[in-house]
Amino acid sequence: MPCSACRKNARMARGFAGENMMLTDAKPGVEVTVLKVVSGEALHARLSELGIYKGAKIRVIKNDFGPLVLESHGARLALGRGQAAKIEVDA
Amino acid sequence: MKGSGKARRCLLVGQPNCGKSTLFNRLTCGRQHIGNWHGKTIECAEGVCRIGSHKMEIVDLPGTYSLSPYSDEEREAVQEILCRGHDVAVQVADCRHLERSLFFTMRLLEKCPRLVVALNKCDSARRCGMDIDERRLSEKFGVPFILVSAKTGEGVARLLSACSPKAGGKPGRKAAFPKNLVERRRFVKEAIEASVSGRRQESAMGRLDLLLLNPWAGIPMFIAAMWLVFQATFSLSAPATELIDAAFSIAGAEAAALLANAGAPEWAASLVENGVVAGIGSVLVFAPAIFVLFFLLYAMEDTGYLARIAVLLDGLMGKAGLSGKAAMPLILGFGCNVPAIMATRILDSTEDRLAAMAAAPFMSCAARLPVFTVFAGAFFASQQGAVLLFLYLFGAASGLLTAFAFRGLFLHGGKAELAIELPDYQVPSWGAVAFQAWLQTGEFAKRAGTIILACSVLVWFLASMPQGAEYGSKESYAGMLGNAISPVFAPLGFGNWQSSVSLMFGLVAKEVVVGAMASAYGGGEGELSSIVSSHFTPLSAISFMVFVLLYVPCIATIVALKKESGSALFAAGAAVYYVLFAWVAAFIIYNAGLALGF
Repeated sequence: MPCSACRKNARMARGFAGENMMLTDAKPGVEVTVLKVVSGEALHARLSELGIYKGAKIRVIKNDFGPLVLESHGARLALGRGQAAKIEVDA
Repeated sequence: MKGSGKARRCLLVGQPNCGKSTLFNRLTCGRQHIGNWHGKTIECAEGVCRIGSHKMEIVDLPGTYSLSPYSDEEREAVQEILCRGHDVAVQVADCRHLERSLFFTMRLLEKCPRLVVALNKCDSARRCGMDIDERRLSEKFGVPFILVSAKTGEGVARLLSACSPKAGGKPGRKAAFPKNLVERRRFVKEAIEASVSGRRQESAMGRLDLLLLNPWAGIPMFIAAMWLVFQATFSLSAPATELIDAAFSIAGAEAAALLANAGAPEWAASLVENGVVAGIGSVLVFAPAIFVLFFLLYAMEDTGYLARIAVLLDGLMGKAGLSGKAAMPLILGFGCNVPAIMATRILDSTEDRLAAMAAAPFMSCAARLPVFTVFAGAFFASQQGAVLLFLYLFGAASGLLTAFAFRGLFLHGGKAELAIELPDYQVPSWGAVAFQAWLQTGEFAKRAGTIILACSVLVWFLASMPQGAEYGSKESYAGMLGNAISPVFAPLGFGNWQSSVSLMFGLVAKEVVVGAMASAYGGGEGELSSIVSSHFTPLSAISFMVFVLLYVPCIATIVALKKESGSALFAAGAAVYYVLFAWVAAFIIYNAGLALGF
């Protein structure tokens, strides 16, 4: 699991001042709304097929280490941390 | 009209794990493998469905999320949809995950105007408290929507009549779908709100994930589950095994006596007793164990646990340079390596695929069980389960090590992160699981009657020739052949010619090792354990099992490696590598054991 400094760096590098959080920072059990997917086109399309797109509501089931487990539209997904770090969500 | 004279061609399309193959089996009485995870079907399958006097050709496609494919099996599905002709397409959609499916319906309608949507798993949706109005969906999308349950057969007749030329032959009314992505999502949302009442309740099974996916609890539970599978393989099959064993002993003795009474030449009696009965019998007694093993593995697949293992092992697999997704094909390798190699198609990058393919043959398949059972039974009868678990883990570790080295040396980049859907947990459909396991056991029995029989007879022939040589003696051809190669195996602790010959024939298939050994020693199946215990020491038995575990599984695996990688060099290199790896591993184990005084 990347340390908090790495996560912060990744966020800064993408030009976020830390106002919004990334999916990797979301606590298990909460429901978040996707604000932005910061990634290349391929991943963008793939994630949207899996139900992760701007405006989609996602429930975080598990987020400790290893892949995140999410629930979107009633389906469970497992998502690697690197990809989850590219998904900006509201608090 | 196109295809009016011949059978109509009907495609089953849809997202992964929505039940296409189950529906295919229902329609065609087919034998497609089914499993509760995304990406189970990796090849198109064709079958024929008879409706009265009509015939319809049904094509089961691998699941795909969209028309822009990511992995090889999705590519195959998309090619089939876009490039090959069809008369009607049935989109199979999981009732419980309607939103994504309907989004895909719009994309499909652009390419396949003759579309019928089968809302599958309606029985379990109803159980979750969902009520779907198919008529309203049909109006909204302009194509027929039909609630079906491929599992129970509900609604299948209505689906077929919707696919018949009279009903569904016409292109659907072109519904005006919005072009824009966001508006399309709104369209789908409104359609669902208008036609689905009752919310899907979260099942209690969903909470299982918190336990099963927690690394501290999950990994020990995974290992315990695998140990239970292997242990149960033996304890549950033991009564049937003994029965077959007894039947073969009697049959062998009776046949030999009958031949002797009938005045048949001595060689004929020897052929029957040492070649046929010893060879086939020693392998066929394992049919019950193979059945139980496949039954349990398929049951595990059907519960939805398999995909969880991919999540659980993602960290470990990542260290070996593989994606967690590779855990799924590798675990299938415990059944048979060939489907495991084919299942690597679900991996997203070529590099990942090659590394996983190189690792797959190290997964100990069902064909290796007979060897392990004979040796573990002879030397470690009280700890059979533990010895087997050790061998399975050793094989898996060797596979991961290979993937790691392969990645580090040859394949850079292309590391795909895990992004998979986790299927809903469900109680396995025991009937289907038993049927699939039965098919596998049938395959095994068929091999016993063909290739294993041929090899056993060949070994018998080599062991009895030239004329005048005593059966199975050093002067026979088999003895000479074995003696020529046995120096290679002497440093591993099994320099006797019989094991060398059986290992050589084992290149064809691993089950052959036991059959060939029985024929070479000239003993029946029941006696093999005692013969082995007088020719091996516990240490050399372990060394032998490790060698059998790691060296080339069978010719079919190498052929599969060539076919799936598209490179003969890769397959040949892998084969040489497996033999060398096995030799080195067995050498280290044997000599370390000797040094430690075992």
